[in-house]
Amino acid sequence: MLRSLRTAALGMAAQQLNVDTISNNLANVNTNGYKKNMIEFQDLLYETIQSGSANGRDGESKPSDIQVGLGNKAVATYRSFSQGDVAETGNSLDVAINGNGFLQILQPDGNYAYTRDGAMRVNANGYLVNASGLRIFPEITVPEGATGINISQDGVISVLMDGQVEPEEIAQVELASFMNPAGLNAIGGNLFEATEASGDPSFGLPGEEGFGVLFQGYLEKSNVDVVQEMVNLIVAQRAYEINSKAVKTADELLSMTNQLKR
Amino acid sequence: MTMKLDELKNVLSAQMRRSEIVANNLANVNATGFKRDVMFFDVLHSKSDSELRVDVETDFSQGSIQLTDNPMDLAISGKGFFLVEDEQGPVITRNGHFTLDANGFLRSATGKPVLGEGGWINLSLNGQDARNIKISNTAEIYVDEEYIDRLRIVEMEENATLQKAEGTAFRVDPASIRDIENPVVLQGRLERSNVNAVEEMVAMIEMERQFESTQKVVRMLDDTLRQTVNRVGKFR
Repeated sequence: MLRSLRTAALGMAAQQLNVDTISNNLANVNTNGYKKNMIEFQDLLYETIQSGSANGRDGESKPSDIQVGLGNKAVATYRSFSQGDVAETGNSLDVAINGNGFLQILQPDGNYAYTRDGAMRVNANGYLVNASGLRIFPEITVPEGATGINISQDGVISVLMDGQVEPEEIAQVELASFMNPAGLNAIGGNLFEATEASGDPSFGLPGEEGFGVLFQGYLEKSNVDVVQEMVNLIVAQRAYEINSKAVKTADELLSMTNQLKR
Repeated sequence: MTMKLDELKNVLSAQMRRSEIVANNLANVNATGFKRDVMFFDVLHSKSDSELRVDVETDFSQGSIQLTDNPMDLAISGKGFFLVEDEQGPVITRNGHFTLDANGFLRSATGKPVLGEGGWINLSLNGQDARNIKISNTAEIYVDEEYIDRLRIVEMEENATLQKAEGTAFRVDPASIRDIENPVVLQGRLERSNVNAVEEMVAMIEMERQFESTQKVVRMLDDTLRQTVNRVGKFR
């Protein structure tokens, strides 16, 4: 009926999505390795009401047509892979990656996932697993009777066996990196999957250029900036409100139109 | 009498159109690089009293620039547009929220390739992941200190046909595009929508009240006509 009614409703829907995204960021402000999500808005199709040439004044053609926009939509949510704060945990199986690399995780269905969350544990079979129990790839087993574990900056894992003085190298951590990390698909549990948009992973060792180094005993915290998110929330709420005013105005216009005839 | 009603109808539909334009501006209050539309009533050029002409123009004033710290976000300060290739030819945009695709090509937020002086811009050096991307104020792109290409920052000739397209872009006649000489590009920043909420709210109130008063006039005229029909025509 009246375009402005639908246009404003689309504006409200877009801002609703904005609030959803911000809430999810705020909910994950303490999640290890969480990368904040942001949303990108764009205008929709334009309807051309009159063509420039047909309506030229005094035969001149006008430089532009009358175009009426049909609202706004969220085109993409994208993640910012900026480095989160690195906090000390004192746990020798926690690693923070300082750089662009991702740890590889073997999922139960045989596919690989990638994570920035370096909270590792040793499971009952001696495998190094992530916080939700999925194996780190390449698979690493910690031998029984190991008393101390050391992870160097370039990813070499060495253990101190009971009764020995010299540490023994047992494995090497490998990292993956992506051309376009913003295109990774988040699958929950701090994990990401490679997509067409992200490109295939390239593999390397910690310390090689572009992969970053490992810090043992530290974890990377979420990169959500609470103050920024609060500001975004205020902006989103006000934008929602102002679009609701446009809905109300459109409603009043239609009501007045209805009262034209008594 | 019917003539007057016609005129009033034109005013009412023009106000309706204005409400659509204002609603679209408000819906895009958060859209990166969006430029607001303004509607003018073209009273002086109306050929007859019954014709009310309206004009819609895009306001290209600078939107506020926000710091994002994402190296792939670019804002243009002052004149100029980024040039993006689309299936139907080139489009220009002020939205500098770019990403890399899986092959290292620079793409706009809608996934269209961004054009530099050498065409599509590939940021991967020897097939490696692009790192350490620096874009100078003059739009020169460096990856790991190595010069890659220069973004084309363009404007169109005066009076060129310009149509808004989806995705905060403008479709222009390719022949009217020319590069501007001293563009100022800011890395890690985005240009916000230039919609001013206060201005739009005022426009909305103004539009609504004008609609209301015109509606009152229509009803009054309707009343007069009714009186004419029922009273004047009555013989006692």
